[in-house]
Amino acid sequence: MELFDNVLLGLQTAMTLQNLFYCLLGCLLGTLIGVLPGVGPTTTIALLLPITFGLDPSTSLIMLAGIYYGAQYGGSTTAILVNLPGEASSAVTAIDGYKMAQQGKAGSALAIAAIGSFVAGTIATVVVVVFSPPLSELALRFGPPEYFSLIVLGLVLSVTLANGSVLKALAMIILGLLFGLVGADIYTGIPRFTFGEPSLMDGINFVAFATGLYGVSEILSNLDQDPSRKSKVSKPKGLLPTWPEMKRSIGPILRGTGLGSVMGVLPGGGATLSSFAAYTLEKKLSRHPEQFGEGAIEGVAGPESANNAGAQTSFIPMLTLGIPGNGVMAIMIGALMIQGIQPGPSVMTTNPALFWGLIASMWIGNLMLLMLNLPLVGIWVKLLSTPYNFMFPAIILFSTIGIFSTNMNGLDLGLVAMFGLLGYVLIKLDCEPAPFLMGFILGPLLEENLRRAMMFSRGNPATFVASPLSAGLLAVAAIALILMVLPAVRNQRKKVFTE
Amino acid sequence: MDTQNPLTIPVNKDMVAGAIFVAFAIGFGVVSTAYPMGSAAQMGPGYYPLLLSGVLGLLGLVIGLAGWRKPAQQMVVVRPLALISVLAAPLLFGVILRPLGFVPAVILTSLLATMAAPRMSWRARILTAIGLALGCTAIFIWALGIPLPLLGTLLRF
Repeated sequence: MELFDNVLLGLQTAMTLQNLFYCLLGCLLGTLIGVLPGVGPTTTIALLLPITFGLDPSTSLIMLAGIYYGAQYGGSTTAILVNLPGEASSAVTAIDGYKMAQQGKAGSALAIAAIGSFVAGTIATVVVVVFSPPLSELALRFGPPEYFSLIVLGLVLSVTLANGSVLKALAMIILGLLFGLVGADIYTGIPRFTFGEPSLMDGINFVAFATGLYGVSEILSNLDQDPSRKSKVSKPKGLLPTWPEMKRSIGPILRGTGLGSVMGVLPGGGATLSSFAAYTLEKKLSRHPEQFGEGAIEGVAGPESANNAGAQTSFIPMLTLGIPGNGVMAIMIGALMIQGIQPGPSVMTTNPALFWGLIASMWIGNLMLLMLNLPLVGIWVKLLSTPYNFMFPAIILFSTIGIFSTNMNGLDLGLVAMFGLLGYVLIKLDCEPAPFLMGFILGPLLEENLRRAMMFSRGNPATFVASPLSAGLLAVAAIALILMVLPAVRNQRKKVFTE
Repeated sequence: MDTQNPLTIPVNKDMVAGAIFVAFAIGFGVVSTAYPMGSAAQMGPGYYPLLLSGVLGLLGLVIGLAGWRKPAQQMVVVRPLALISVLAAPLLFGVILRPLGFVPAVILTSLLATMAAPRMSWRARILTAIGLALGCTAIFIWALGIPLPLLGTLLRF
């Protein structure tokens, strides 16, 4: 069986001592940074990205994936213990998790979150193994028009990620596409928007872009409030859930896993929507919906499983199509390119060890998190009590040194400040950074496929609707766009985001 | 000007956002026209950016005009000192790293960054700077082996 050979290859890659070590290190560092209040998974990965550059490609991707799960796990710990979720995906966990913590049941909430995440991670890894090969085979048959339409669809769906005005999110995408063009033109080599700066020929340094946009602008937003306030941390007592709590959680965990696995694959889906959907589903199915919001364990088990499953399966479009479904995957694509690997359907055939090793490491990473994090919860609680005044200078310095050390180029530090300011101003104006990042990553790819498709069709734009697949993808994109602008759906979306 | 307390002014978010998008559209659009355009069948380097700038400009106009009738909202703009010190911190590091070296650069950058925190005592600021100097040296120089001099050219005799 080819599948088993692949899984075996993956395990061999993931189980080398070096890769196990970096997977563990990634999980630990990810949790460590992710647990800090107000720091979400995207920010964590952007901040830690420079550390992985010295490693070989598979190891660095394995470590980044570890950082991702770790950060998500850390985020839920923060959400449960101090009610300060770092990213939207753990905001749902905070609703009932924090209530449980106030009732002295923080231990049960944390344990159920960990167990649910592990179960979800295990099942979702199987989903990734089964569905990736056929999808990348399909993608290999894509021509430029199909690819163009697929990217358009991905970008349009990423609007659903943004909270607020659809028009603003679209404008953010286009702005990202434009910034992504900085550098030498792929066909003629003519430098565009570089202002004569040679280090911009390869484009804007991705790490500087992501750190400024997420790290720095987040610090600025946090500093708008008085940061000397100390957050109140509820200390967990016991760490084991009671048997009835376990029994109540089995259903939500499995349903959350199913929901998350499906929604994670959709571009624009990923962890955030999955956890919102799972919460709504559990509340609808529950015989005691009034307990939700008052510390219902189902409200922790469902969303936590869903966001972990969604996090895992969101790797599928990234690995097989080279198209990121969310901000985190956009950073992963950036990391692959920095390592000299062109993301896309050919990664599976040209770098099988990297591909399958990464997938195998997902499961190993989840296992490590389960075994490590519950015993270490005392340390996370201590970290959570650190005042922000000590944290933000550390974050600034770590990212500054990390970025500078990748290229030894002072200009990159200027870019950090510039994108930090831009991101901060735009967030203030209710324009979210996720679509901006997606556009930035996909800009060059979109242009390449547009120009190639138009060349083949001798300038006839009908080529994008000539093939049924391309036409279908564009049709879905158009329908999604229309639906989002319709008032009924708009109100529903508003409700989901404010809940 | 009170540098510690936040500055609150009325802002029409949609109009400002629209204006920013239009400004970027004009900037990118004008620069694009300097590059060869080509044709739809043989797009030059300027074709696609100009197209995007056009769409962005249009979106910016629609966003701004739609916000015309909405009332302005009072919002916390920024504590000016926080904004300046956080944004200047990476720049300062880049400027003083070569002449002063890694350790002094970390200390000064940390001191500048902590200026953003209001009501933080000088003792806490100095302790943070020293702690970060130790931590960063341990992580980046000793553990990761990044080749940067601990003391710069100006401080060595």
